[in-house]
Amino acid sequence: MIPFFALNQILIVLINALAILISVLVLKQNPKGRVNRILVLMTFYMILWVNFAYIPRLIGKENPDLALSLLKVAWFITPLFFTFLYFLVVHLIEKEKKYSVLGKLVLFLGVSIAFITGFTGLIVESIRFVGSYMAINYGPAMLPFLGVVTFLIFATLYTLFREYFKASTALKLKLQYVLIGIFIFYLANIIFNITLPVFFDIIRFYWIGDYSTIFLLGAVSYAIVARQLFNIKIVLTQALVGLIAILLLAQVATAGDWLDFSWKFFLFLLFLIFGYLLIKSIQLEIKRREELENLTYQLETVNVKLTSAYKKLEKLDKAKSEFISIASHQLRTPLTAIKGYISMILEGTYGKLNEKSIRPMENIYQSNERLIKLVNDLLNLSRLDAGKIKFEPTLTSLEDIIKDIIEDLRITVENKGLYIKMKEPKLPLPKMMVDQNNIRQSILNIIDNAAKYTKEGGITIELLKINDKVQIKISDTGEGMSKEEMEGLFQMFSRATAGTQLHTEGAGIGLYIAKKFVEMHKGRIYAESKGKGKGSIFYIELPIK
Amino acid sequence: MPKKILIIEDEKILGEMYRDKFTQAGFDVVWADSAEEGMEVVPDVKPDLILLDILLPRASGIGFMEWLKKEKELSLIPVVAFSNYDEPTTKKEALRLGVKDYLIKTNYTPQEIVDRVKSYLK
Repeated sequence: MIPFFALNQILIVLINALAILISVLVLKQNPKGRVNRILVLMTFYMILWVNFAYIPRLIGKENPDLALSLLKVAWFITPLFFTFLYFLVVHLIEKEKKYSVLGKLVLFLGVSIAFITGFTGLIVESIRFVGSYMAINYGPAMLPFLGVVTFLIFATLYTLFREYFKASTALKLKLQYVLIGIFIFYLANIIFNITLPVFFDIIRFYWIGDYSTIFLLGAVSYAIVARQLFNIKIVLTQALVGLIAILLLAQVATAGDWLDFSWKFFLFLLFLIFGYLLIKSIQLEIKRREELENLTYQLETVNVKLTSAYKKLEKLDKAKSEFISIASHQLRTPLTAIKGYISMILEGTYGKLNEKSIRPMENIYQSNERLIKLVNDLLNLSRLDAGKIKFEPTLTSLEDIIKDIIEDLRITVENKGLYIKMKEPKLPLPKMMVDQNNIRQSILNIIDNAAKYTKEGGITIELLKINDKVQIKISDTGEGMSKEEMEGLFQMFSRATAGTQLHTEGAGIGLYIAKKFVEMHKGRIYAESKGKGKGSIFYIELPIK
Repeated sequence: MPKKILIIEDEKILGEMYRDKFTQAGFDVVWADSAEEGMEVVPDVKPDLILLDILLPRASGIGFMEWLKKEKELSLIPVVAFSNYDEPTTKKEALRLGVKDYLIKTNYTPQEIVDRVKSYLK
């Protein structure tokens, strides 16, 4: 077994080496950083503290005066170390006002008590030896000294916890490391440097308190230097497993006989396996949680982006709708003037019209009507496309709508030498819930289409009640359609062959719009034709509501 | 006594056209080319009906309706909106504010508008 003093020497060398390594790493990471500089200063203080507390124990018996002086240096450093720890925390969280009242008080009390300790005998009065261990005779100011140290501890913890819960995730993880270091340091000092020697005169464990500073500095340095911190849970588990493994290994080393050795070695191996599994399971758990957090974060980011994109689209959509409305308004204004003046000229508002001028005027009027219809169709089409047309049903008489349309189109149709008539329904039809504008537009488009493709004869409109439906039947004596033509009839930009041959008017969207409007009513639109030259029949069927 | 009609229309060509038509149809016509002018003349003229355009410079037809609704004595004057601005929300808003009808100008000849107005004055 390694003798205790030899172990102590190994530990001292190890701690000094670690302290130098920490200083180099911390300075290398950021030589000008305030936290880094405080940490290096604290490491320097720790080296003085640990060594100046150790040396007197070696030379105390031969040279008690020098031993007392060196010990006082170590004790002088202790409150300064606590004071710097407070400022380290303050600078780490970077929120506390650097010169707050608490900060000033910490500095004043810490420095004062350090000087009292170092330069008077009020706290460390003299030394004595109990067996091979050196003991300290405490002076009358020992209790105030403990009071100040306690105050420094609370000031540090208060500052740390006040900001901890408000801190970002990254800073929180850093503070967790600092907290672990502080916890080990405070606990070891309170137990082994204060409680046991001062109140119970047990001095042989003092070194644990002194050497615990390395845990504090190690943890804080790691928190500052490491780019990516390991989850604290893993580190603690690993530390605990490692500690128990060392203790079990020590048991193995001090085993009495082979049986004892085998049993303890078996236990040690068993523990290693379970320890390994434990660490792995925690790593896995944390990895999964981190993945989940990462996914949640990504989802949140995507959500934010989507919301912003949606808002932009909404804005664009609104701008587009407004543009269409304004553009159609601008197109319609001159068309309204042409329509209005020509109709008034034809009506004789500005005097009787020359016989020869009537026909050209009517032609201008018809051309203008085509333009108006085209603007209306395009406006409807763009709104249908944008889903902007709302279905707003009101109780309406279909008979009235059809009569109204016939009156509107009568002049146009009759001017072409065609007839337009409505067969009165045999039974009175009920009023129905329909969107007046949309249904009117649908019927108008079909009749307009029929008039366009009919050269002789005319158009007949019938209203029939079939079970729970009303059927609007629009028959014409026109060009008729082949089967192929009927297939794409209600598609956008579709025009019958006759359309391309006989007429160039119309963009081929009237029937498409009619179909869409009828579908809004959950109705059906279709056409029949016995073939070329045999006329067509268009049907609109609407459910009675 | 001829019926008094106030036409609020900012387009000069259309304003003249409707004024001519309504005058010829026997109406006493007052023509204002902005909502503000309309607000100014309504209390004096006290028309039997107002024919109101919607897209107007500065205050719109909607703004005019909001003003008219607040004027106790004048709020009962029937208003027919006529505009080429065919926007569902605006249309709905105008109807909510009490216009009798919202006509798309381009779909009606002046004679048809006269007929509509006459039907509202019956």
